[in-house]
Amino acid sequence: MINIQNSNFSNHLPNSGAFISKLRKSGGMMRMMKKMMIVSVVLCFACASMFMMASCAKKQVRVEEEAAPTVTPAPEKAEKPAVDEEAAKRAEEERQARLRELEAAQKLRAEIMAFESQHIYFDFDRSELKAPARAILENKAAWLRANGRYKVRIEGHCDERGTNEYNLALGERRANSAFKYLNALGVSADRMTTISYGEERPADPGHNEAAWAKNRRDEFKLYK
Amino acid sequence: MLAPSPGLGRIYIDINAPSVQKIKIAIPDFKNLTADGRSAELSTALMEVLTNDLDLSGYFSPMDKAAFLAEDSDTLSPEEIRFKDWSVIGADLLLKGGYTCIGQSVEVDVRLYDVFWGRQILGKRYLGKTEEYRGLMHRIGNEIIYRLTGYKGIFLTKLAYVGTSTGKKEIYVCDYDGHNVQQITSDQSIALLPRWSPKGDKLLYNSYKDGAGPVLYLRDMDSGKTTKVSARAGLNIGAAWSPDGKKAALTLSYGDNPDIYTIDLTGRVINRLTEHWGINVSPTFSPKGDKIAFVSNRSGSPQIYVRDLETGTEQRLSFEGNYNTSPAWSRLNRIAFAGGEEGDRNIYTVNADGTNLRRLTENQRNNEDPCWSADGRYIAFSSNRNGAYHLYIMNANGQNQRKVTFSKGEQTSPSWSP
Repeated sequence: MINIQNSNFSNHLPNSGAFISKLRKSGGMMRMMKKMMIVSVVLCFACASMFMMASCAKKQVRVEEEAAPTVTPAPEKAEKPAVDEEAAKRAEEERQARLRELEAAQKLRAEIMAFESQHIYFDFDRSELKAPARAILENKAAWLRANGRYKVRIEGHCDERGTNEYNLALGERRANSAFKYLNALGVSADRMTTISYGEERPADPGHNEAAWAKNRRDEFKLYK
Repeated sequence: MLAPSPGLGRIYIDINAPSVQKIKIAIPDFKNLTADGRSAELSTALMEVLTNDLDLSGYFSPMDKAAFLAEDSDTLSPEEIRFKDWSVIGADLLLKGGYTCIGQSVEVDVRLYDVFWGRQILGKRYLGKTEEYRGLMHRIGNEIIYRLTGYKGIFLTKLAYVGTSTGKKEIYVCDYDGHNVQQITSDQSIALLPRWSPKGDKLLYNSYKDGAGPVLYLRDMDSGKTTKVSARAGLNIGAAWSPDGKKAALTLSYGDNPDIYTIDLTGRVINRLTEHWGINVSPTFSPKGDKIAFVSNRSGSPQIYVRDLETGTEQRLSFEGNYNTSPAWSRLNRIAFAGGEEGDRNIYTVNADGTNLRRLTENQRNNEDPCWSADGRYIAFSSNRNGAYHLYIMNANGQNQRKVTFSKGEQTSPSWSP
């Protein structure tokens, strides 16, 4: 039985995964997104039971290996198989629930890491958003809309050329550029703060154009 | 003791001349006149502080000891000095000194002679704590400068700056010659842009220690007490003291755009001075306080502008180069700034009306953050000409560029005390 579901799972999940990631990429079309979100939520529910069982089947091997010592008392209680089966089932469900939580947490953590590690970059002495920066911000806006508990701190940075003061102001303008674009994409202003570090926190300590290009950036830090 | 003696006599050095012919001065080791001969190390140490002062002043060329012909006798009196031996090696002036240690104190006796005439120009006796002998020698140096130029020396002034020797940017203070380094902040975040008050009793500076943006703090240098002056959302940066020390101009961005405002020392806004879309930073007051120079990128790149605070008119001051920042307005009405095209940055000076532009540094990598000594005759700046950024000082005309900080890490953003 588990095997059958497992095969179902492996047929469906990759598809729905790709589907969801497609959804994410089509950032601009909000209405479309909403529709698809609803669809995907329904899909998720439909898949949920299969997914649980399937993932249990998949993970079981590993979990049993890890949990082996604690499971040893089981044979002694063979006298009351019905009660035992109930308890074992409940324990198993709890364990699965914990696993699902863990997986969800891991997935979220990965998303947060991806969110925070993706910076946007600027030209020398400029604070206008370039096309790649806008694309990145569109993804970030989608994620922020989907994860309403999170707020974002936008940090503006500059390369080392020029004065501290001018660069503090330039860094602020860079942070504001991202702030305004995210706001236009539906992220409310009270979920965003900005700070300028000017040239004080370079990502690359080098003194050449390659380093400078990496340092003219906005960074994004999530918090609740 | 420091009052000028009657009859200043001849002015040896015209420091208002566009360029100064350096006077050759011979300064032998000081004579140890202490009865038991202890503290012999001061013999060279005292001489070195004074020699360095006179060298840094830009008015003197201290002579190499190897050229000295004869050791004179143990007294300092002119009868014992063979002035021919000094004039033949080219010395214009001879400075002889002796010292006597008494308990924790040292008494220093100096005589300055005009070698050609064999005449004493200055003779003074100074008493101070032995451990503070550097300060004592700076006082003597100031006296010499006053006697020879008619103007006060800078040898007892201090520099505040941003240093990175702990790995974080903190505010430090040192003597103008780089000695007596004192760490002022221990915020362990980012401390920036220290600015001495006109009296030298307070420092305004920025720090990120609260985790928000750059907040403006005021530190009383005697008590060490620090108060928060402006912590508005966004920037509170680059405070410039008004000449009367009652207010400061700085950049605030709580109104969405970084503009220049004046505030009182409690942080209350007095006036908004710029209202021009774009970046407006780095204000500096004219000596009378009726104008400011500042940096704006309204033309597309950062340039220096001057605003008349009474009429409200603004004029662009810098036209050469596409990146001109850090204006500093001297008491003698010259504006120094850091500028240049892509590549190396240099220190320039210009009159407040845009005339008489001069470049003071050249082919020495980056030269930034110019600030004036209170008398308007020297410029301190940071340069990475020898690798890391350190502080340098030079005469207002760019002559006599000397490195003055030697600490670990980098030193930038100097401010010169009165």
